[in-house]
Order: sequence, then structure tokens, then C-alpha cells
Amino acid sequence: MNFRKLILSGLMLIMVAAASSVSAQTKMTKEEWQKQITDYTGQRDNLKRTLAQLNKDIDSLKSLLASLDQKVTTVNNETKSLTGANDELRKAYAAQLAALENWVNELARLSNQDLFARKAEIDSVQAKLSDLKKSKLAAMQENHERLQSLQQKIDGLRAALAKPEFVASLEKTYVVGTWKKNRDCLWNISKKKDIYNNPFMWPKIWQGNRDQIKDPDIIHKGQKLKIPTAGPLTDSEKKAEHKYWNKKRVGTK
Amino acid sequence: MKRAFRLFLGAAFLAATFTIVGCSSGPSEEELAQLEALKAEVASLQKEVNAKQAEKAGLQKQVADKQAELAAAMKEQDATRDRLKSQQ
Repeated sequence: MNFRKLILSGLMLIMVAAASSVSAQTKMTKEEWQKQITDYTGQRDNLKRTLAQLNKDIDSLKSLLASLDQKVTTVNNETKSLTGANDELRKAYAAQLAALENWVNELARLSNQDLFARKAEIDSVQAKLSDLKKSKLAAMQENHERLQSLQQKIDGLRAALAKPEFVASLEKTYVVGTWKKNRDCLWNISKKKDIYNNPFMWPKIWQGNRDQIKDPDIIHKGQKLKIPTAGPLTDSEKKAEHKYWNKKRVGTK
Repeated sequence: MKRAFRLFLGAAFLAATFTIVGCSSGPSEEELAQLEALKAEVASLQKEVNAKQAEKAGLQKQVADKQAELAAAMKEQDATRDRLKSQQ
């Protein structure tokens, strides 16, 4: 009985050992190994071919890039030489352009009043710009663009000066006070420092307000008078003044 | 008793056969190492190919940019010539 048990136990042990041995070997068979070796060898060969082709492509792209770079440099040098100017001349021209740009930008930043006062400068700026446009360097792309932009700005300044709302914004007004308190008459108003600082300019106020002043000797408290832009009397203003004095003379006779 | 002994012998024979067959059909340590080395080589090559593909793509972009730059430079040259002609 005991011997039988011993044999059965031994038998079981052998079976377990054999089973584990077989299971250990089922991780990979020789055929599977061979298949993997074949697969990976194929992959490796493909990758090597791809790599060789990539290296070839990269070399050819590098060479193309260098050739394009050379062409760009050549074309740029040719373009520069078209104007016949050397680097020094080009720099000097650019500096002149920059100075003109600063000037125009300064004018563009001015208030309407200040711009009107400096409107003669717009002509000076235009004259300088026209001079710069005559140079061969004006044909260079970068200069051409800057010159165009400057011309647009100058045209803009001129257009702004011509706008009716701009002219209106320049017009000063004055509200008439009383004779008793302010001694306001056209002569005295014209004499004021912030008006014309010159009493002889009174016909300018009169003519500028013909709609509300029929007789320049009569103005009323609270009247809002337009003060035309300062400057010498125009012919029509002089004529009106002359008529006024004549009338006075006749009246006193 | 005799029968048990026969059974034992049969089982032992069977186990031995399994073991021998199992051992002889698997790859050796050397072969397994060879497979591992091949796998590593493939992984390394794949990495290199990926890097080269990225480099190629970068170069292709640079070439396209340079071609555009050249076209612009040539256009600028033509425009400069035209402006110089109109100045005369």
C-alpha cells in the first residue's frame, strides 16, 4: 500500500516537472524565433535603404539651398548696382529720408492751429521730397516705399488744411461785453492781444460778421463774433473800411 | 504492484519525451541574444530614420522659403529697372 502511494506521488511529481518543462519551452519555439529573425532582418534592411535615400535627399536639398542662397545674393547685388550708388551714398540717402520722415511726422502731430501757422513748411517738405525723388536711389524698393508713404502723408496734411471743418476749427469767436464794463467796440476788440493785437484790423471783424453787423459802430452785448484768421486786410476789407470813413466824413459835414 | 510499476515507467517515459522534445525545439541563448541585438538595431535605425525625416522636412521648408525670397528679389529687380526707366 505504502509502496503504491510512493509510486503515485513520484508519478505526479514527474508529470508536474514534465508539464512545467513543456510550458517553459512554449514561450518561443525555434520556428517563432526564425520568423522574428526574418521579420526584423527585413525591417532592418528596409530602414537601411530608407536611411540611405534620406541621406541622399538631404545632401541634395542642402546643395539646392546653397545654390538658391547664392542666387539671392547675386540678384540683390545686381539690383543694388542698378542705381550705381555705393553703400555710403545709400546710407546718406536713407538718413535724408529719415530726417524728412521726422519732419512730416512732427507736422502731422500738430494741432490744427499750429499746423495752419506752419503751413508754409508743407511746401518746404514737398520740395525736399521732390528732390529726393529725382535721385536714382529713389528707384530702390525700400526707398520707393518710404517716398510713397511720405507723399501720402504730405497729401494728407494738405487735404486736412483744405477741409471746411479744419477751417472752421481755426475760427476764433468773441462774445461782446458791455461798453461800460468791457469797452467793447470793433476797434477795441481788434486791439486785444488774443485777437489781432492791432486795432486797425477791425474791418476784418466787421466783414467777417456782415450777417450780424450792419453798422460797425453798433454791436450788442452777447453777440458772438467770428474772428477771421489774422493777416493783412484783404482788398474787400480795405474797400469796406474806405467806404465807412467816407460815409463818416460826409455825415460830419 | 507490478501494474503500478508499469504505470510509473510509462509516465516517466512520457515526461522524458516531453522534456526532450521541448528542449530541442526552442532557440538557444545565443540565438535569443542575436534576436535581441537585431531588435535593438531596428529600434536604433528607426530613431535615426525619424530624425533624418525631420531634418529633410526642415530643409524642404528652408528651400521653399529661399525660392520665395529669390522670386521676390527678382521681382524687386524688375520693378527697380522699370522705375529707373521711368525716371529717365
